[in-house]
Amino acid sequence: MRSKRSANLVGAAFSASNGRAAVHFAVLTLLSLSFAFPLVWLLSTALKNGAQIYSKPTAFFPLPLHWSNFADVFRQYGMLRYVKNTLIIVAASTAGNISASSMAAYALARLRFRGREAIFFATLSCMFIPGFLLIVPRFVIFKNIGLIGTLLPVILPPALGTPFSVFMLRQFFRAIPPELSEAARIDGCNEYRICFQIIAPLAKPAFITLVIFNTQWRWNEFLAPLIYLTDERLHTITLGLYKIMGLDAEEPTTHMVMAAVALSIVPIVVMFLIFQRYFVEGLSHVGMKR
Amino acid sequence: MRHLGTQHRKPLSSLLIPYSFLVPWLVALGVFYFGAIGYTIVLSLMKYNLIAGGSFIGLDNYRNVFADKLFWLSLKNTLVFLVMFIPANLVVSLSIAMLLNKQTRTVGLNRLMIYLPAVIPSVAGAMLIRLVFIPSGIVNGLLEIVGIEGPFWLSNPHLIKTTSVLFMLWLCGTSVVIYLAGLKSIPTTYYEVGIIDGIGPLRKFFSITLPMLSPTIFFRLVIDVIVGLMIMIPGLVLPVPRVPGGPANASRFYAIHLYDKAFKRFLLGEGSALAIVLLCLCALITYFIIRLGERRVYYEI
Repeated sequence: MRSKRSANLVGAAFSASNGRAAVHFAVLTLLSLSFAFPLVWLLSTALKNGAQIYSKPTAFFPLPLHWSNFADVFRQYGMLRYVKNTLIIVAASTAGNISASSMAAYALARLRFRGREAIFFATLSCMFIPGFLLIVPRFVIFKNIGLIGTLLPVILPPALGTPFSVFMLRQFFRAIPPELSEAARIDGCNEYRICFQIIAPLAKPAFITLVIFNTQWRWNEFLAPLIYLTDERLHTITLGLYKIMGLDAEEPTTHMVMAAVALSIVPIVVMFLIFQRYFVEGLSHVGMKR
Repeated sequence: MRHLGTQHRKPLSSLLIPYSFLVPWLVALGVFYFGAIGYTIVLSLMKYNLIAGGSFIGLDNYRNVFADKLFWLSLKNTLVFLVMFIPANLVVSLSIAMLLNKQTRTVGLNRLMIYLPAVIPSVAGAMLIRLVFIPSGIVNGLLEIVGIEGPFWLSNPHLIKTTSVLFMLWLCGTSVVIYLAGLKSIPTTYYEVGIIDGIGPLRKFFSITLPMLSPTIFFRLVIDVIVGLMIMIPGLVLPVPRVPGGPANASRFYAIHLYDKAFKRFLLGEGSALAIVLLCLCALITYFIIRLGERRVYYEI
């Protein structure tokens, strides 16, 4: 049986492979279409007017297209302020996150000192704490030091470093040959210059990945803003969506709500399309062995 | 800048240099992570009021938590969700990753389309899924064409958890990418040896792919449990009519219960007790997965 099989292997594989490839192609196409479909449907809905939404059969390509929905959303729902607040949070927390995390990662990866393993272990274990649980005590802390009513409760925790960023950068810094630091030390460089002028520039791909991830996380973040940013003037884009959704009691303005949803999605999708490679590589880093 | 004295002090100052790099991160660890957990334990033993402050009341908060019927309901909802979500996510993500692991002309585009839902804000995503699953929505429209009367995905208490699972599976792109990276790291020689031995596709999967992938699967399971225990957004956004907690409280998940107690009613002590209970639960489940992993996971030496 076995010898017969291997003898026929090439021929059999050839004739069977065409059929199998067709099935493979069909399944994969169907799957990806169903994943992407809600996004396409969103655009279609966002470009309709009230009458087109209820017309039957539902038009997939609603003519005429109502591009003005997007402008209306900005005017009616004050989207501009949501976007502005979100951008402030993204910029401040990302800048802080990358500086703080890379300093910590540098020490953990390339310096020897007492307690290093303990700090690294603590960092790792923080990755497995459900983030939601930290929000209650943090809220009380922020309330007591008077930061509720500002954007800082959403900015500060990530700006001082996050376990993921520290871990990722540590892995990256470790892979840089130690001889580089040794040579610089012999030339009289101090540790700060070695970190910022020699090692950090070599980690540019890791920084780009982290900028992208930070932007995505802060832009998409819902829970922390929901709890800390009770003042309406501080609302972010996701809070804005949640509020707009609440206004829309029984969907007379579905097209407007969906135009707002589309506006929240487009920047992140565009960023993803441009930097796709970094998303995938960054994620793969984390799933791997140490 | 340099003084003569530095030569003598150097040992001490150079000993401190590494810690100076760590200052911001140690503050974060101390205040926002470990400090926060410690503070949660303290708060859970207090009757805490934002204006008046707190006073210790022992274990009363825990007693209140366990005496609350809604607590048990939200715990049950979350565990039922978890039991459906974890295996479904493993099977779906792994299958898609294996499909994507074949080099075809469209594979890049397919991967892009499948990953896209995972990068958008979950609130926006949940609103999309809601749009697609409402009674007059496209899903029931398609079912009607095939002659099936579409169910009430968003207002039937027996279905809302299934719809939540479907929503979460729509976001499986992240797991897919991680499994795909795992699949790509399996040396092809193993499969070549398998072909010479004449093993079938099933043997190939169970004797080569699965054991080689087990560290990745194991890592993902732990992450999925944490994600699943914290599930909140589908329960807030999906239900029709839009009551947080959904029809007959069937999508009142643990996180929604906690949010309701701590931030709607400002029972911060009871909210903290709920957080500690969930932390213990999370640790317990993770511990079981790790114990299971010790026997089942094959680490390469």
